Amino acid sequence: MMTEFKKHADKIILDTCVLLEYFLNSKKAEEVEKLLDKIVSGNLEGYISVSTITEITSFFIREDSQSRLPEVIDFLKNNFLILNTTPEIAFLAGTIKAKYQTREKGLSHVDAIICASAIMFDCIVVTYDSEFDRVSEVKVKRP
Amino acid sequence: MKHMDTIIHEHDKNKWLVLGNLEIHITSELKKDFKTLRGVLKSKKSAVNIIREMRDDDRIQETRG
Repeated sequence: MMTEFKKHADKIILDTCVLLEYFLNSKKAEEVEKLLDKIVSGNLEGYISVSTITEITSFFIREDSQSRLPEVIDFLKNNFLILNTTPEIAFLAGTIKAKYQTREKGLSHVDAIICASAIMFDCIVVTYDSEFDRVSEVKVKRP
Repeated sequence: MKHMDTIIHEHDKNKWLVLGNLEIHITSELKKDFKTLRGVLKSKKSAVNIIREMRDDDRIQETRG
């Protein structure tokens, strides 16, 4: 379900791909930078799942860019609320994962954790990944 | 920043973060503008594809398990 930021108390949870677009300086980096500016300046409350840190760390190491990880992790720790996978989030993620499991396609563990975190903390999921669009329980927006 | 139970506890600034055989120093005193992080990765892959690949691999492993 697509929605606007204003309908949802300005709380957003960023999917990992949004941050990666910025670190990769892709064509989308400009719009991501505007979003990050709003978070850093306090106009938007930014959340990430702790799983995002895992994915970012893994990709930086795979790309032999681990020397930049301290800056990246500092940036995330200082500007985002980092959500751990609590038992409540894990339970909710499990129910979402089961619901969207089809013969052809399932929902990944991290997708489900991000959706559950968004529901628990009343956040909009900000992502470029259309995978989230089929999860009717969460509100989704592009940056 | 608000503090909630779900936030990772502030890392001891003097400690090294150990990731397997990789050790990195968390420098929370860093005052750099976040814009210096734009383009730190050189891959030309799309971010969505990178993440999709990572998550789908996990899902396939999970299904096999």
